[in-house]
Amino acid sequence: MTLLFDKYRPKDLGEVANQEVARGLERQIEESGLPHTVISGKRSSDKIEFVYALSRTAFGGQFENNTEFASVEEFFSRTKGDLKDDPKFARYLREARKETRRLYKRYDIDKSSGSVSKEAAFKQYIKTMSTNHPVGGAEYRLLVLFEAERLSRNLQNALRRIIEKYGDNCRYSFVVTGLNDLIPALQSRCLHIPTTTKQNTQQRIKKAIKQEEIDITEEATEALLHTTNNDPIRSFLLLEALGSRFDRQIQIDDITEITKETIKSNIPGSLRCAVKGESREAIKLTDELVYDENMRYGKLLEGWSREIQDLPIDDETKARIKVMLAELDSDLRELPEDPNQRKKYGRALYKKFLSKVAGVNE
Amino acid sequence: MSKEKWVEKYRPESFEEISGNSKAVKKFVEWAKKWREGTPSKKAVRLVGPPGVGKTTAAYVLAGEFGWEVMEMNASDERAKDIVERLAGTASSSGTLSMGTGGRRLLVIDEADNLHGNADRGGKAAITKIIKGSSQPIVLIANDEYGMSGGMRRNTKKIEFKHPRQGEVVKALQRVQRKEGFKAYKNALREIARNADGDVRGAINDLQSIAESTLNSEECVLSKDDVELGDRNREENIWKLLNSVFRNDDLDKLGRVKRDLDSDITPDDLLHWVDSNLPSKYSGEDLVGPTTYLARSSVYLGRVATSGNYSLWSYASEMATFGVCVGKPFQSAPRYRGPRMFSMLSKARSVMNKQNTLTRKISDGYYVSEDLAVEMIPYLKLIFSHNEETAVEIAHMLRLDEDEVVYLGGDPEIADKDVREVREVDEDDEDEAQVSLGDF
Repeated sequence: MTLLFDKYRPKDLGEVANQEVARGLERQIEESGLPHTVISGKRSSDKIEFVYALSRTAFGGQFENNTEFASVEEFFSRTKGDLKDDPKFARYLREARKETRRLYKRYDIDKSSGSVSKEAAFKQYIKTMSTNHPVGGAEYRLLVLFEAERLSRNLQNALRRIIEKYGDNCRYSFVVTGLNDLIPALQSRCLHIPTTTKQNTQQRIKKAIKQEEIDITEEATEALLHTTNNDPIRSFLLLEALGSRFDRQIQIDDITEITKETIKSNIPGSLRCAVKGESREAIKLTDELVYDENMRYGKLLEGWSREIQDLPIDDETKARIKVMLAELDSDLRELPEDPNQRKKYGRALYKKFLSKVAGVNE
Repeated sequence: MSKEKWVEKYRPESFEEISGNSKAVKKFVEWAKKWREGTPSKKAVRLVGPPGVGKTTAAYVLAGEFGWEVMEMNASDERAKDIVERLAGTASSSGTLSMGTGGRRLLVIDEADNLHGNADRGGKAAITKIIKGSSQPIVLIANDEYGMSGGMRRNTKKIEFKHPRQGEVVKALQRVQRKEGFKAYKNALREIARNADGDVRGAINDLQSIAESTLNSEECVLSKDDVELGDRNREENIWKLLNSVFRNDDLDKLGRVKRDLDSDITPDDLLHWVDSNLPSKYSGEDLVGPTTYLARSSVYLGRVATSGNYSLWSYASEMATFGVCVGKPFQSAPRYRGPRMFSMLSKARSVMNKQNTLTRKISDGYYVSEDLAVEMIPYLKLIFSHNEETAVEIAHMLRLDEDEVVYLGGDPEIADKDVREVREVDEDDEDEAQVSLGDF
């Protein structure tokens, strides 16, 4: 509990912003237990905080032992070799293989189980997590799947059955950006909770400033919330970084200074270079992002897409650049999922994009 | 000079003349000695090894030293079941005419890994049968052990031949050169040996062709400059290819160069070679042409990787060469260099490994996704470098080790402190436990 964002996290559903939903949920937890939930919201909204509060309300002090936080993206963005080396996941690959062998034997199929897919291993992981016994007097466990939109259709269909089978023992919470990323069959099994951000973050930040006695001007607070786009965790982190850096009153200029160090300026920088026609420099900056800082293409493209709005060019050119970006995105999606292979083949693709952008302005 | 092939003319006549492989030869001789005392348990051996290292020669030398008659079957003969049985069957089960029943006849089956096709139908089984029933020594010779059938492998003793070292090959070349009576610098011979890469037969063939084409009179000395061996060197070829891509517009010529190279280089490597050698003079709009083709090539390579359909490779490599050649804005000669992609990839991997443990600790400790944990790192770096008190608490809570603290820009002492504190607390607990035990 040393970082501010952890300290000022909503401790239970009573503290989250979306009070109407929260109160209903509280009542439901008391009467019939936690329902399966889909928590949706844009990037940097309150999703994580909501799950955290949900888990704490349902399990109280035992929330750590009864909740499993799993990131789908993390699992699938890694190669099978990596997963095998990771003691946390190696077990599930092994178990999935055993399972296939057992199935083959049962139906008298004369075939070696060979190697199993990542999907099979993930299924095994979810099954194991679902069958674990709740501790500390709780009646069920909670399994939170972050970035659930990365679940393939196949896997989502498999989850339908798993949810029904293990529903008594384990409740599921899917964290997604948009509700429609899940198949309708899963949506209908879960309670949908949209999250909002803005006011909640502002309230919490202001409360924290008061209680921690951080010396910051009114304008600076506004600027801080603006730079982080009202994202709660980033706002708190920025506030904390500011607090540890300066002993005096914090001004707007301090914020601009510190954001240079924390927020990756290479993303807008590379696109700006390209627009100016300096494609070589732009490619160099992007290389640094992708290979030195291991940025995922998804995030890179998101950053570029946001930056296009603020470019000093006319609207028609903006539209053309957007089209090129869309092309790049669809090309990148054709690459294999393995992160190393994506890095290997992706370079030619963003090189093409950046040089095209450089060409468009000339 | 005679028209006879030097390889045949100077085939070694004693075991000492075989380059390297002394261990294999020793094993081979031991097996042969057993035949003097009767029939050994393994009636056949299989000599396995790369081409041109002296397997066949060893078999002939052996027969010569032991005074055995040789009967050879190789791929040029038909080896269908009936023929094998008729030829080898009778030969291997009866004694020889000249030496009576005491004499031995060595049956050499060359290229035993190449028994297939219609002509050789049933040959493998027939040979296995003969090995089992034979009363005479049999030698099977093969490059690829697994080209032989299981039965052939089970019933024979394995003797492995390896590439001799370069020095040994040079020695063999010197022997030929001395016998042939011309002069040659040692570095020329060394160059030939290096190029042959352990293939003695190939080296002697090379020597013959070079010597016959360059030495006109008795006084001539073969020097290193004379050694011009075929385009075996891949590096040299890739420069040629890059030249045709960036300096020429002649697609026919490019096609020829590319065909020569196709077996040596995958489209994957080709893409990165062309990509990292795009002339630095191309910039801005000029880059659009070549990069468009490279991007298409990349997409096709990606499709190959996802679908496993390798026929798409041809499109990928053509787009990386012909496409770039057509799409380049103007001819320019860059200073060529090897692809940087692989060093970049390994760098990315090492960064990822370093970050992985840290982000996992952060994400477990604060219940955030790993994605967000990555973004938290710069903030943590700021906090670690300015506020030691908080840094200690964080390090303690996340149980960071020394490396991770250093990565975050903190004082490595923090991690030590943390561990020490934990240890102190543990010891305190133990004391209390002992006290309470005493009370009971």
